[in-house]
Amino acid sequence: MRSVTRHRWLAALVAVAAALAVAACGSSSNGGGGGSGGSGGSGGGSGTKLFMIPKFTGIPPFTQAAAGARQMASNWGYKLSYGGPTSASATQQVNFINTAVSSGNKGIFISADDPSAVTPALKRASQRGVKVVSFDSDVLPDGRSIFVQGANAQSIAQTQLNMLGSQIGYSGSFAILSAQATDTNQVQWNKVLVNLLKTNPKYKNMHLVTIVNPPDDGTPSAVQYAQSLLKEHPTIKGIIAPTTVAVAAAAQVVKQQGLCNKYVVTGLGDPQQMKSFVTSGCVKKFALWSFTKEGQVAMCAMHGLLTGSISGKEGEKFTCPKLGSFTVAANGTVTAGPAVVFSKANLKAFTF
Amino acid sequence: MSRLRSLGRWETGLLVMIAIVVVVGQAISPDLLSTYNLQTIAINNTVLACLALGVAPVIIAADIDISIASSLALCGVFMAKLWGGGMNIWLAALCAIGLGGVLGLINGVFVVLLDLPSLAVTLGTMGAYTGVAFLILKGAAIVDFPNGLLNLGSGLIPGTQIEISSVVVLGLLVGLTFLVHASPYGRSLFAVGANRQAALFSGIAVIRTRMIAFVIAGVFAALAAIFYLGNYDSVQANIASDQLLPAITAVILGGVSAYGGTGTIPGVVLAVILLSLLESALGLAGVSGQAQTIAVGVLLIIAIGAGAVIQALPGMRRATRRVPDSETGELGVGH
Repeated sequence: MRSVTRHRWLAALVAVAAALAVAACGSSSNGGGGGSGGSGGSGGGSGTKLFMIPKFTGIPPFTQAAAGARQMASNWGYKLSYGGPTSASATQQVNFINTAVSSGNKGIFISADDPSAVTPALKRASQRGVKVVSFDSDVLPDGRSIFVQGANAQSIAQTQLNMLGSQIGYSGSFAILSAQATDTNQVQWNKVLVNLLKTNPKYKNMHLVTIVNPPDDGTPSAVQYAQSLLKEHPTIKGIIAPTTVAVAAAAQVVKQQGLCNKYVVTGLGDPQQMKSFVTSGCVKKFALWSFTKEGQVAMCAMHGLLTGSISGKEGEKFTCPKLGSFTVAANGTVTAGPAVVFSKANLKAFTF
Repeated sequence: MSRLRSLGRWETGLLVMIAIVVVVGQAISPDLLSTYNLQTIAINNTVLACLALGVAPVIIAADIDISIASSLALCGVFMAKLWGGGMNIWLAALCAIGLGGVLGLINGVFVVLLDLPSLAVTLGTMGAYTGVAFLILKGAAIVDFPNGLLNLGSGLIPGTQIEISSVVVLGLLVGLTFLVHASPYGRSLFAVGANRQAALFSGIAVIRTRMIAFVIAGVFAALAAIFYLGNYDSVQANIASDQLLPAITAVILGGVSAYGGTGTIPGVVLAVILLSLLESALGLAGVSGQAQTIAVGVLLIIAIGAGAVIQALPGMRRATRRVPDSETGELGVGH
């Protein structure tokens, strides 16, 4: 009995070794092919495969960015695929990066769930000649050539403060309901906002009581954190939520509790998602840039990188059909356009 | 005897499925077996392999530990914090392994000594460990670890195409295989998992055996944390929470009975290999993230169904634990 037992697990151990050996054989026979993808200037256009990885699939902003990029890609004949984790997950994003590289994509667009966690995989990708453009949420600078942001941090922070300030007479306390603490753009916008409060006399009577970071990008967390925020700080006059998820969640909570007249909710929202809150009057103003345009500009930047006309250095220029010329700013950053403020008056034009 | 034969078939079945995935996947996309793809698959699945290996003894002992991913996060945060405070990274890693053992021991104390259901206890510690990790980091992240650690997590052995992490995992596999299948402890583990009452009556140290299984799970969660930091070069409080279900999937798919008492450690690793190759093959074939999770779910149900069929076939009946069985003469008392 015991000898049989030993024989069996030994056999199983051998089986693992065999499986690894099969894999190793496969790798050696294909090893030569692996290196050939390297070195830049592989040229753009016709049939070249590109891959876009959102923070997670299934929310409108990323679908719009993909649509924008795809529409622009058709100008040059690129083949753009879109895929990502079903919920924010850096480990899953890394799997998508690797699959994208392995299946011969020459360019990757990514909006990072965790900038530092995906950067090692992106570096491995660029060693194989793959060009990386980050959009919406940046990775670490050495993980990509260009970062395309919807609007710059200064204009976002200022727009948010103005939207809130104009509704509370630029006086009173408020809170920020943000996203995960590692979310790069959120951190950046909030930093600029805090700085504006300190330096710009226009906002001297506005007082930020707290910045809340839910543990994930999900609506349930945002709702829960919005509820406890109002419980802990019932005297605030409003909430600024610089994420589409959180601003909708905050509006939902305020509406449910019948406090639309007591608290001002504003921030960065998706027109489609915010429509009902604006028509019911619970939310007066919110802002966003065009994700479609962000996707389009990201695609133009990618085309420039693939054709070798730009490399991501400060001061370089590239053009986008119908959108005009864009300049690479410090740190490889490109701004797609200004933030647009939505209210009852103009919302119709942006929703369907 | 017949029971052993049916189990030997499990690993064979996994090998056949791996072969099918490789052949079909390679036919759809020849990039599946490219060096780059295999290397990145290996690097990105060391964390999963460690978690699955570690939780396997717990499941063999007919318990469950769903706090492993949270233990990983807490050990990772602890290690990063020590390193950030000026400690040598390897010393910090050693401390993390120690912490992993302690976290496993805490689970063991609640489950075994206080005789509480392992699902409920580890559900509680899952939240508690993540909570402590949040308190330590306060929502921030620690990044930029030393090159030595990054090398362990994602580097190659100089002059070869073999990942350092894969070799270490292979070593862990061999070690754990001997412990579970060729040591007195392993024999106790299977006896306890097959029938806790009978094991107690035959003089096996049931309490110690189950406690050690939880400690193993904790230590392997800490090892997984070290690989996580080495591969992803960052840590925050909620890392790897998406690795819990794949790890348990791999253990069950690897042939470890969800009721305990049967299974092999190499089978678990074969299941990790199968799952990771399947994921990559589906990705290369352009299948979306949602469809991938469906495919894994279907595979798991097929595997469990196949196990039930093997059990039902005449002459291949596995000794069932819960029902009195004339063949084995077990007492058949549940726990």
